[in-house]
Amino acid sequence: MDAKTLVMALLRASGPSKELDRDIAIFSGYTVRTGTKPGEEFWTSPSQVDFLNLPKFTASIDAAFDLFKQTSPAYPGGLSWEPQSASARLADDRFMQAESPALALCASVVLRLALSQYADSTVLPRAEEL
Amino acid sequence: MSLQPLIQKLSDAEEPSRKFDTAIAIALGFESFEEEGTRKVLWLHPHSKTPTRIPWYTRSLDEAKELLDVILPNSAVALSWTAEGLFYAKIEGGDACRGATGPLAICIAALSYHNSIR
Repeated sequence: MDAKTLVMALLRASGPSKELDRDIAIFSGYTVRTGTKPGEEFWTSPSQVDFLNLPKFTASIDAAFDLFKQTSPAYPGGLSWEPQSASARLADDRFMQAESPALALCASVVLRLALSQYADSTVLPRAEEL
Repeated sequence: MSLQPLIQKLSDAEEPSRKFDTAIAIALGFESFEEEGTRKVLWLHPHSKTPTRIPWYTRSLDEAKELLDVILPNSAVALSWTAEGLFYAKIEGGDACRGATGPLAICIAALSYHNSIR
């Protein structure tokens, strides 16, 4: 999944999603290997930290914050929320508004990764598309 | 009882602690009791009155958010951090509070605001 599609999906999500957790992990450079038992998976972050299960990035602020720490240098940032709405921001990037703080922070991490990977920011959603 | 001594301890803390979690829970009105037979200590949530564990308020952002949901439901909250790893939390209408970690900053902001409006 490309950065634009993933960011848009996170901003439009109405709640946590295991599919989005998986898309985020793969986009962010986590690797997965299957265990011997059916359905068993082991994930490794880009910082070489092992996870017994796929972290619930979109459900938990702790998991989303850990995603930030596992994938990015120590950018300054912020996170705010009120009932039914949240926003997040890393470095000087655009604010990402989503349904929950976890979703907003995930979107900010994906945006930041994409901006540091691509010199061409046209691969990202334009302001009017958000 | 003023929450100020607890707020001060949390402000001086460098890391999360189960002792702080317990002190916060007691300040919120959690009550402990010993389960008959097993002599295990259980806690009663002040609102739901169901036996529960004490949340990891000072370790987890999600559980620090729960603290806010209990004492200041529907509030607007902001958490920010610097590249050097300083954390600041602010509740709408309250002051920005610094903590060594995100959860500590949220706990300090929540208790300070709660303390100021009681």
